[in-house]
Amino acid sequence: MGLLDKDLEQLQAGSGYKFSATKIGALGATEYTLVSIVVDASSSVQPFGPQLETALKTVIKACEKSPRRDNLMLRLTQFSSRLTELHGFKLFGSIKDSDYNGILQLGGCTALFDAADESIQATTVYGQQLTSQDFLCNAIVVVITDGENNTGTLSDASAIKKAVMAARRAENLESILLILVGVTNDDVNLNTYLQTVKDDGGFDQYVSIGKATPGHLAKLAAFVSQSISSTSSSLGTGKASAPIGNFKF
Amino acid sequence: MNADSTFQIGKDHILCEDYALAKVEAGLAYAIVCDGCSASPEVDFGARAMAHSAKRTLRLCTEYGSEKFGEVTIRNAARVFDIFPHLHPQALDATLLVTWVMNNEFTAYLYGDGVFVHKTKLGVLTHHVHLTSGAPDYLSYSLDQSRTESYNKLEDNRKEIVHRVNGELQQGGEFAYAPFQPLVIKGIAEEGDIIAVISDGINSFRKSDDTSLDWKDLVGEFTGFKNFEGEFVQRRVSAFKRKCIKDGMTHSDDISIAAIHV
Repeated sequence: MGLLDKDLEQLQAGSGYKFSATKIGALGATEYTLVSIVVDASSSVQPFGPQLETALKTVIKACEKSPRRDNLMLRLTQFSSRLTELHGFKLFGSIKDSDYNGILQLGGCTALFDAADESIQATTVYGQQLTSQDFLCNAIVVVITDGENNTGTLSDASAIKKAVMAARRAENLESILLILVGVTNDDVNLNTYLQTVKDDGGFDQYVSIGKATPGHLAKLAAFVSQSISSTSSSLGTGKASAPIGNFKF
Repeated sequence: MNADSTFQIGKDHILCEDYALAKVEAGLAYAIVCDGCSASPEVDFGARAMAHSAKRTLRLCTEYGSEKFGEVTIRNAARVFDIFPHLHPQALDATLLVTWVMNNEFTAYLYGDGVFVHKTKLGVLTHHVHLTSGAPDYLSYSLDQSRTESYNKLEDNRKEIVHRVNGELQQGGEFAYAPFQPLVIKGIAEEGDIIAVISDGINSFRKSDDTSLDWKDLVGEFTGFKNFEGEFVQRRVSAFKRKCIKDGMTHSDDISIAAIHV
């Protein structure tokens, strides 16, 4: 089945963001981990865009082998000058890695803050709907960027922190883990900037993969897969999973 | 149609001695609950054997009367003693609550205590079975005449069955059955109806201040399904358990529920 799935419905998040998600009536399990991957698609990503797509496909393949596969849903969005939902919350079993061939539409500026905020809000709203229907949910949001925020409605990372704190206060999700990944190309200033975004934006973890080499992007895929697996395993424990530490790029 | 079930260990138990099964196959939907006697050994195994034996009986024939159904089920379940000769002879001491839907008709046989629920567009009908001695009349007693005789000698042992509609006792809705007489319920199952059996663990819930919770107030929690896809019973009960944890409610006995959504 392709990414445009007839089982998806259009929903709206608080700040007017629109997103899509699998209809609740189509879900059969008792619990789900909502995975959101938010990918920078600005012009500077072009040199390693294909490798980034390969990394995303690797995440899909890894999660398909997980014993928790039927309890995982993934939403993929990209951001440049505007936000684009590449696909809404879908069960991993309904995503083929071939669906990701040429999926990124690269070009434009970097609306990093808007993208993170939108993803958290969409996750929160869908989590609330699922919880109201007796599903147990937790979430992980992974934001991957190679640059500073330079466009969009939000100019301050603190708005992201507000969104994630609101999500935690609402207690619809058992936990929400927020990870920022920097493709910093060993740029010290960018690394410092993203560390500040991590703190101001309320991210639980920041990792820098350094240069966007095939090896580093493959490790990024492994890191994201392990983070998803850890988050899924913690569902039902009442606690958030600890961020994966000691991951060297 | 969909069917689902779940069973949960009670606070006072080390092993869960309840078991539940539910499935839809070839136009037949069934829901089965077995509650092992906590005073008898190895009943966690026995409750499972009884439930699977009942499933087998249904697959053989859905037209058996209650007496034949019970006899076929217990005799088949007793074959476990041939395979596992060291299994305790009382391992099959378990209630059996079984209901099934076929061709828009439902049948329920309750051997022992527990609750039967039928939710329709018009309301909720419940049958609550209670043994005043606290000792259920297990099918397994039929395997040993001396045990049947001992059971029949129990003093002040009445099987009380109370029929309610939307929680209200109906006129003429109280019945006294003889021991070993199962409760038989038959009726029409319309699309959208819910038919469920629940073990007597529903009587063991207590609030945080240790006051008991009336089972009638809990039927809505157990059968208030928000949706009916997949593991709909497990979802509802898990959500209710989270509420119990939050509110400090506990249940001392194991609890099991199996339900059919028509």
